[in-house]
Amino acid sequence: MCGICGVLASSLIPDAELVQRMMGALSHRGPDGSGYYRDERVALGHTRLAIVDTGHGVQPMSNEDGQVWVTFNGEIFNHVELRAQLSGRGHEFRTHCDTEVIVHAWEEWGPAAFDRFNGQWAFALWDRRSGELVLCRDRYGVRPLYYTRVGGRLLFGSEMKALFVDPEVTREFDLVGLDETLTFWSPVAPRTPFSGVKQVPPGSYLSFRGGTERLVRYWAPEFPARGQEDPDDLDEHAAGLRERLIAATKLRFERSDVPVGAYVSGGLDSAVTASIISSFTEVELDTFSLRFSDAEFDEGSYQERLIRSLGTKHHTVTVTERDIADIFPEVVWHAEHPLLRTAPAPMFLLSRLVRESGYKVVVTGEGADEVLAGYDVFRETKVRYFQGRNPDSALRARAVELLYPWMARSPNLAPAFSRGFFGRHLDLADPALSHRPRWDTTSALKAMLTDDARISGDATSGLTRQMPDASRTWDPLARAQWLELATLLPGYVLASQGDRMLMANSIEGRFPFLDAEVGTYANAMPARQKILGLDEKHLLKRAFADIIPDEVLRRPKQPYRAPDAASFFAGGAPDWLADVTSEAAVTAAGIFRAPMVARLLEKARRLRGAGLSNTDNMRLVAVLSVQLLHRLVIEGDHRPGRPPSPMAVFDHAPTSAGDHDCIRT
Amino acid sequence: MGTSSTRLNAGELAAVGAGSTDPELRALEVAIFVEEVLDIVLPDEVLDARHLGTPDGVANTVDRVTGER
Repeated sequence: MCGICGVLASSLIPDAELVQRMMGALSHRGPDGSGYYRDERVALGHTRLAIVDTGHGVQPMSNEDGQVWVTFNGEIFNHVELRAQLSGRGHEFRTHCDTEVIVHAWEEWGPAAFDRFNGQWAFALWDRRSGELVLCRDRYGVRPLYYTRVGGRLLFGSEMKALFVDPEVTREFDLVGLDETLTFWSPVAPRTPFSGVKQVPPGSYLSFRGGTERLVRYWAPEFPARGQEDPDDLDEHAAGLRERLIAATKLRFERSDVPVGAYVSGGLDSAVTASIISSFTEVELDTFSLRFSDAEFDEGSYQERLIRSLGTKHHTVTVTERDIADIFPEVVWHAEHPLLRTAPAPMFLLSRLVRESGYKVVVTGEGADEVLAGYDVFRETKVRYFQGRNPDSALRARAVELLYPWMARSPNLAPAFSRGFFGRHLDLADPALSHRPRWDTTSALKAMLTDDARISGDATSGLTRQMPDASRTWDPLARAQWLELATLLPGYVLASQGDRMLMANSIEGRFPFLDAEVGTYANAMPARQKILGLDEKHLLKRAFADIIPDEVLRRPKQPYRAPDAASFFAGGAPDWLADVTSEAAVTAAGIFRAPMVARLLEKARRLRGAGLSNTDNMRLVAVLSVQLLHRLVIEGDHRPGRPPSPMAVFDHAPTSAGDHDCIRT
Repeated sequence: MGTSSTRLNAGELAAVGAGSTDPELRALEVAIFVEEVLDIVLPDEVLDARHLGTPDGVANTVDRVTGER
């Protein structure tokens, strides 16, 4: 895992100092070394986290004749198989790095190469022969890639902070991106929270050639029409899923030249990946878990049950509310997005534990809920359709008790909740029926926006227009999965809570559930088998029932959460809070109404952060994160340190003292 | 048995609601499954354990609702 950046210039030679500053801003992503390539048109920068072929693999890297260059962040897990194919076609390799496979695959197959890659990547590839720069991102958006245009130049980087080191790049909030965040929890690619800055959408590449820009989607999630699903039965599908997940996990565990650890959350998904490693490899495993001092959020008992069964060397970090408050500014700096929950903060502390334990790579369970239908929103979708077929039926309204058993103990509350939350927007023809109640809940935060920060228009209609025509024929569950894959997964789970919290401490995450083969196989299965009745991830449970302890396998699903308002007010507010939420600071940012912010803070202070509504908790975290972004990113001083040493220089620009390649320490 | 009820996979049907201890709630989960697979709407009067509590009960109910019995 690494940081990448660069410049494509239309007239002037790219500034070598600028690309080094960009690399400096990405030092945390690759502390093991750095490098840049420059010629008369392009500069490619790289900071390296050495994982594969650690003794070689300096980037940027070229093909045999130096006509194709790449700067690469991520892993192509099937690089061994691709290398064999390419060697058979006459390509010569100098290293054993997956990076080198990319340039040769491009020479051999062009953009069709991307379909052959199984991995997680963002890269910039410069083909001097045709004058084409390609920015490419993996299928699900595991690895980030941002870009902007300024003064006739294109700047790109793994994180937006690399772009902001150029003083010509405007730093202001994108109000549409903010509106999308206050609807879906994140902007929808290519939009970002910052005006003028875009991101390459997942499964896409951008081509720049001869002054033209072309965005090409090489992959998108596809689901079968209802009735056209793979006909295999439950046991056959469970066996097929098991086989593919074992292969995907082993690939991610074994294809590394440094030790790989595993996260264990206490839930099913990481239990599956850790158990596969433990059961199907010979290597001793180190596992890492988050604990919370607040029992409401702690999953320690489930973690301990699994660890007893696996016998791994286990490491834990126990997170207090104060820890979250203290680390929050740093978390927001790395996340570069407004946050509605503090949940990324403990993930930051967990990756720090991994780093301190001497590890650089962890396998985790991210993606299982999206690919195999684990989220409550999917189960709610089924209940809402059931209710929507006869909205007046009191019997159907009782189905909500299947989702939330506590309602059976509160018979007076259930009908009202059912009507209020599930009874809204029950238009069975609505392609986003699954998500309307949740989007409504999040959108309530917009009441705090100033008039200047409000936009007209509806973010949800913009998203549903992007749904493929064929989605009309899909099962409602598949449509709900598509919406998650377009919003929360790439925009929040893999970004603010994933890549950014891992890379802040120079840790690479690997995600077997987002393997290309696993995804394709899962999408072809009947929706009714993924959630059988209302049993979420039924096939996953069936597939691994023999190696997961029953207590973990059968436990009620608990979404990963951390204390929100309580983190900042239970034990007295952290030092930074008053400063960024003062009336002057809120007015200067111009996003939220200062009097409403003051009332919200007063309420949280009075209640010591306890007993706030779900919406107030989200409001508070949104205000704090937006104010911190304004202070740190928009008003901040973007003067990064030097790129990590040693630095490889491949300077082929006419102004340099002749072509020269060297290593600077 | 009618055509519709034979489209319900016995293995799948048997596993629906297996974790539920309340027979009436389990019947609702079975109803969700049946409607999902067959794309039909069951009337309120059959949304109970008497009609949907056993595989035979489900088959008879579906056949009656779809007019195949």
